[in-house]
Amino acid sequence: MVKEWSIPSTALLLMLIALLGAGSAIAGDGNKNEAEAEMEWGYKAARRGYWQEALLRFEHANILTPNQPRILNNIAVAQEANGLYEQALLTYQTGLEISPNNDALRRNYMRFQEFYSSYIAPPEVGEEKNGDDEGEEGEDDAQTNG
Amino acid sequence: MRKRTAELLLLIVAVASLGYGGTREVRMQLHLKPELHLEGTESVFVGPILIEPREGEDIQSIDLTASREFEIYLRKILRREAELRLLPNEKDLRPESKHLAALMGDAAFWQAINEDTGADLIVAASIDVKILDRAGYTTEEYVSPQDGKTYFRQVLVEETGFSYDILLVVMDGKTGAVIHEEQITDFKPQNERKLEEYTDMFTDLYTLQNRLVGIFVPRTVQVKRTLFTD
Repeated sequence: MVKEWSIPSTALLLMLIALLGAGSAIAGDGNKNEAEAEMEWGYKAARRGYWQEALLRFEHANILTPNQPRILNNIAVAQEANGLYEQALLTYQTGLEISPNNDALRRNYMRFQEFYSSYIAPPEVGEEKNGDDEGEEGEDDAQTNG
Repeated sequence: MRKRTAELLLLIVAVASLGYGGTREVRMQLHLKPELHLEGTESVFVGPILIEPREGEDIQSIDLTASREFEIYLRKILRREAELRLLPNEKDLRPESKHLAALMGDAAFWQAINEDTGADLIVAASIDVKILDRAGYTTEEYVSPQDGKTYFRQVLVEETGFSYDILLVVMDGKTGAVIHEEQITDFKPQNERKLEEYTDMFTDLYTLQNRLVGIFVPRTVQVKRTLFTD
């Protein structure tokens, strides 16, 4: 008499998920883990105001797992913080091409656009600069200090 | 059976969500370079502040007051905020043209100021002030209750106050050449009942101050951005 295997379906699915997870990790997702660690370090550096360190971490994360919208978002923010405004503009645009519906990325880009058009690339000669739009920057707490 | 399926779905969602980091809003300061690269030792002469007459209109009392008030304000900003070395404005300048655009091409006029005062830089302006009741649109950020996403929407705003149109130029005293030109439009809301009061016309004009200071010294702008945490 052959004994029939009877594993509950829940356990079977859990095992499947675990196997899939383990499989993907083995198949080169060491990079993914490292990228996540870099993102975390970058975020911590950014929180402390070490934006150069943060940018390096985020860029390394992007090398490990290229073209992830969340990584591109962080790179763009760090580029802004380091005064690399033209690069930030390109990075935001690249991120939005990959993931147009990423809410955080889109919100940051819109805020950045307001800042960029107000301070970095003002309207061409002939177009009138309207002071009313500036300073507010579309953000509640934008403040300027001389 | 259904309960088990629901549990499984929840579990899958939970496992999947482990791969996606959260977001946090951070405040940061963005640095802005000044329009002019000064050494900080330059001497600055302020004037003339001209009234730009509007076509078909005579100069009104508000224009004269605004011109005087703006000069006081400009000197205060340049001295306190930009920490520039201002020269005393002793003599009454009588430029040949009342149009700043025309005067900008008259290098001899600016060189004469340089000879008289020794000013390295000359900051001049023309100003046009209007009292108006205006209605306009402004952009406002809001979070949609439907999908939780952030959008920008146009909102109608009705205001009464002073509208300023200022052309500010920075001239090289030695050569009489234009170093910098800035067109600034600003609006100061004023209660309808106080529209006839012309005192402190330029105080609390955040944008104007910001732009003026930004010509001469570096600034920082505090902003908010969203970061992914992992």
